[in-house]
Amino acid sequence: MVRRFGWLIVALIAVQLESCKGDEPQDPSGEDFDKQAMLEQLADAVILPAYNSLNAEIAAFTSDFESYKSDPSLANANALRAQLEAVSLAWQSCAPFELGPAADRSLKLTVNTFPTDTARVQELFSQTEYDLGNAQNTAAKGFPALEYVLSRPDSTWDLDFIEANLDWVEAPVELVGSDWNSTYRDEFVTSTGSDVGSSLGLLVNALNQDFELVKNAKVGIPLGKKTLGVAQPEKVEALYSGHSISLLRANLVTIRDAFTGGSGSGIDDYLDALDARRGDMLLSEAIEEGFATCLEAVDAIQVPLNEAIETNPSLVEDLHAKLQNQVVLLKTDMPSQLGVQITYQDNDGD
Amino acid sequence: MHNQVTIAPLVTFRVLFGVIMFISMLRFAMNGWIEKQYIDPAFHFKFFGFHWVPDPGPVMTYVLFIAVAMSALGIALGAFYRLSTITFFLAFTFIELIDATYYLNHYYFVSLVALVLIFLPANRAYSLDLKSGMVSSLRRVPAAAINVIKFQLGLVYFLAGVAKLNPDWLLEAMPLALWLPAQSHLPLIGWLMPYEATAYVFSWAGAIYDLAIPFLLFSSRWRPLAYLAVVAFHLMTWSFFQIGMFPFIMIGATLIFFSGAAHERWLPRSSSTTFSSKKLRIPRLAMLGLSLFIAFQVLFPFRYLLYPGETFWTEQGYRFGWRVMLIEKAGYAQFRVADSEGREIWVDNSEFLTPVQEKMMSTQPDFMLQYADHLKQHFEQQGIRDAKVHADVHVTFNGRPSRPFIDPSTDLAELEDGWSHKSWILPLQKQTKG
Repeated sequence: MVRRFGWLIVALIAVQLESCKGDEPQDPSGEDFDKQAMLEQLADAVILPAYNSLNAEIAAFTSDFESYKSDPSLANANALRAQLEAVSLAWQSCAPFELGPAADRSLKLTVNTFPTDTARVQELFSQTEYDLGNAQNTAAKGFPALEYVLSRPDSTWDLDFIEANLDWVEAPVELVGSDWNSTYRDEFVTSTGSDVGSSLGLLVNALNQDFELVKNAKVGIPLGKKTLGVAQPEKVEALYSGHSISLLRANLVTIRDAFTGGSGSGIDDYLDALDARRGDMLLSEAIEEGFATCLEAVDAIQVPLNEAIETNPSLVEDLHAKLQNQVVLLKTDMPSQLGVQITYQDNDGD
Repeated sequence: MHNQVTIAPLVTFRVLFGVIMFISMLRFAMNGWIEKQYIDPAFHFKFFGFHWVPDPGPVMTYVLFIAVAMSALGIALGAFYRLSTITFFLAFTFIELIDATYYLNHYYFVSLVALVLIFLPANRAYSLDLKSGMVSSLRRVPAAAINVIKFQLGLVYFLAGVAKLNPDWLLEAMPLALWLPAQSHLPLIGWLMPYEATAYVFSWAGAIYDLAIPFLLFSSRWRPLAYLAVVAFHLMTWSFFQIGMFPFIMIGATLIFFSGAAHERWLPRSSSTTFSSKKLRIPRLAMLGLSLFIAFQVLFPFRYLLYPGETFWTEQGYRFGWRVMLIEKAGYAQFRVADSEGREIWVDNSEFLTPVQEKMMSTQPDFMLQYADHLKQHFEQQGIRDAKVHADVHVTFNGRPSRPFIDPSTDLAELEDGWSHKSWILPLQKQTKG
């Protein structure tokens, strides 16, 4: 029987090779790559410092707030506003890492839901007892709510509301930071597989989700991408303080650094070790070029994003298009070449 | 075909199939997948021709899963066998039809086996039906009753092997060259994974294995070695890839290739001493049904030959053909819904689909049509008249750079799915060497 089917197999090989010959050559490399070293670099040089710095900025904000309470001068009010900007910037360096302890606490939704529901914030001003965790307050808390309050004249500030928000953000950020500093760091660097629960799998998912959030929530929605082209500039992040562009930039820079590993071993080096290519260039170069193009498009916008949408929308359209191109590389080529699993569901076996 | 053989292999198969299916259902439930895959999603994708399958809602979904689990036990025990097999086949298949994005070849295999089991006398020995006197015992059954399962198993392997005879698999070691280096953390053999040669060895060994194993399992001389290879192969793929219960189904199912005498030796001594001396004959109608079943199984997987273009790219005629582990594919689909004046809404897929659904939709054209229809309905309810739905889709497969997948100027909501070629899929341009 085996012999009788031999000719059939040979014929099938011939037919199939004939029918689809002529693909471009692939040259996967056999170089070994230290995945744990890459994860250590990401943890120690990118993620841990980000949480430590956010915690430090929040602590500084707390002490500035104390100073303002004891001496509500204009100088102290302005110092508090400046410190909130530092906090918000530091948050952008943590935002893309919604995995592990941050994912457990839905940190992004907890501390940075925007745009702020200002009517709801006003309502809370008049109340003495409220729970910021209440569903009604989803968009009335965290850094964006503080930003709204502090942007107003300090005579209108509701100090209890500021205090409540400070408590609200302080605890989870501190817990996430301490988790990373104690147990989660080791868990992260030793999970070197590529299945969906592995560190690389979690990281790639988290980076992609955050990048899409930048494209959709930070740029697309204000630009009118969900409203038939009718711009909604009031939906930008940091509308009241006017820091939308610097925050957007910091967010993108963090995602880029998570990709490059900063100055050390990163996903880009892993892709290179796998000899991942995109046409004539290395995939890592194509992705880095994509980040550079996105950042240039951000830098071309010299006024707050909401202003740019009203006065020079073509610049923002351009940024949106560049972000769209970059999502393609990050969501298709990169995970495919890394061999990471995006979903838990079973795959076809053989 | 009509000669009579011992029923023992069929009994082993029945018991193992029932037990493994029961465990599969427990695992599915314990992973929280009933909620995640069937209850949470607001929208479900369908197979062509099965759009009528309703979303059963939470209660009925649980009822279906309980029915599958209970009937699997019934099959294993040989209790209310006919009712159990019919219930299992209908409930299991219905679940698979609720959402096509979860399609796996091995679910299709399970449905086919269940369908066949309905007609086999697998409860005529070692069963509760026999104990309770619902059926009389039978020692010998027509060989066809066992051969039909061997045929189905052999076909799965052989066609999976035939599908591997393509340039990506044989000449580029794709997609294993992408998947194996990610396994370098494995103990013992992990260090081999980053080497290109490993992917080639695995690819060629896999193809030869799939093509040869049915014949080796049929041959009494090679069978013991072949079964050892089955066990080793499936355990290895199980440890490498996220493939669920499939390896265990195959390890259990291929035992049926062993001789009747071997099965009689493994099974405990039967308590019933009186076997009916009546010979079971295959009715004419059953022979006709069997012939049609076999013809369909042999021909249907090759319908892909009728479509132009690269099957792995367009996936036309791809499903239900035992094409497994052949492509690493990832896509990104940005849908845009335009009103009558051409003003657009950019769709955030995460608002409509689960991550699994989005992943599957982003590479499979028939799902894109269904999604476009769904979006059109959704936004027309929101007051947008004459909505047109366009999509910018980029797909990478087997290491090729991502490239546009469909024509972004096509109004997808206007199109009907069908058997005919989808001309709006952009061709995979080939760069000919030399």
